[in-house]
Amino acid sequence: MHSICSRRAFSPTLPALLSTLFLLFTLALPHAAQAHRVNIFAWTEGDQVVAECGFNGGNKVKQGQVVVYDAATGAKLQEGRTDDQGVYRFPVPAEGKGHGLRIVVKAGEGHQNEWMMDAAELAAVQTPAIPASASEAKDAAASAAEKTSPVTHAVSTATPGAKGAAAPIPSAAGVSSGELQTIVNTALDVKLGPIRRELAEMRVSRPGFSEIFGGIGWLVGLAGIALYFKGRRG
Amino acid sequence: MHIAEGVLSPAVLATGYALTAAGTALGLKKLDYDQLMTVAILAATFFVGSLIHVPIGITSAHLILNGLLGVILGWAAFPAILAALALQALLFQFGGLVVLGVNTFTMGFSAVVAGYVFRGLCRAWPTPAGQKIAAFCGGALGVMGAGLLTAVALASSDEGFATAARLLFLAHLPIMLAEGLITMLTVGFIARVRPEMLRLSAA
Repeated sequence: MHSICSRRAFSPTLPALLSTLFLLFTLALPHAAQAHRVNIFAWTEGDQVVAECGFNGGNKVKQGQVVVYDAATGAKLQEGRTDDQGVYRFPVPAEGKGHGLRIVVKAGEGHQNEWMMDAAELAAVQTPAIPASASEAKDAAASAAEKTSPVTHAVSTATPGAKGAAAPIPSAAGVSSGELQTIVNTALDVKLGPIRRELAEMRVSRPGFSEIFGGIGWLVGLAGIALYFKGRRG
Repeated sequence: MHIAEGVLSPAVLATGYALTAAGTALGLKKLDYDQLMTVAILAATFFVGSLIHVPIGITSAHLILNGLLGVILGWAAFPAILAALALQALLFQFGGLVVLGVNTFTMGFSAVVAGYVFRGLCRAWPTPAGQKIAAFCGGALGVMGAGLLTAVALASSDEGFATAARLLFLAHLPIMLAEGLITMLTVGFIARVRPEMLRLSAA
């Protein structure tokens, strides 16, 4: 108590202690960090758009409302709720291919964010079966994928015996170019999905140390400027 | 407690800016030379406080610390919160510049109210125990008031006042407790080390 009283005359003590307090807070950040902002990112997977929504703290937006708008006209195209993983999937709307999409998540309590999706990104989706509806296209992809397995099976059994080598060729040729394209697209989607997701996630910025200390610097700098002008006035 | 861009109507946004301008002007008028560095440090604390995330239940609420600012700074909490929120909007993308007015008012005005409650309770009960309770109430009231005002701002959105108020209150109950304790400890510390900083006799 005595030492505290004697320190009373030394004015910088308190600011110094307060600043160490918030420095301690910042040091505790890497695990406890991030706040209450809702994030959304979306990518294409097959003929679908996948939108993932989460709070900055890492929690997923469960049963959050997602509304999809036409980016050019602003017309509402689709509406739904995220599942417990914070994911909402929907087939690519035809309008999106021409104009792009604006995907908005409303997580309640004034939390809202949006994700813009380029027409170019969506136009590249699902080239072979454009006239087919989304579900039909999916079935086509699935049946095409089934067809591939007997082919590979045939190849593996055929290789030991040279006599059977002719067998797989007709069945491989039986796959039309359209089906082949679907197969390749499905395989590519499976492989590229995680990469697309990661790329999309990277576009969501998160506060890092440079932002935190930059902000603190700004506040102290502003006070310094105010002190300077007040000091000049006397 | 940060309302995002695109949720509120232009009328609510404009009202928020007008009220914030008035509050900030009053705060700057009441701000004196000796207090400036304290304002800056507390603004920085507020700025960083939003990154501290209290993981209770399924919600992810963060510290606000506006009650602490109101208790220590009084009306000067307004410019401090405005500056800190502007930087949060620019650097962290919390809230946004369009809704800065509304967000500053919801957190700033409740801070000022918390400050008055703290001073009133301190005067009514001028003992160390009374001061502790007053500080706890100040810290908790800051959060509660901000939640209430945020719900008022959201009343005209599709969510409606009642739902927003209920959700905000439930999500921020642990935050109210945490901030009450933080304010109590900080005020207790300042009362021992530099009691003149609390300006209890002046106000």
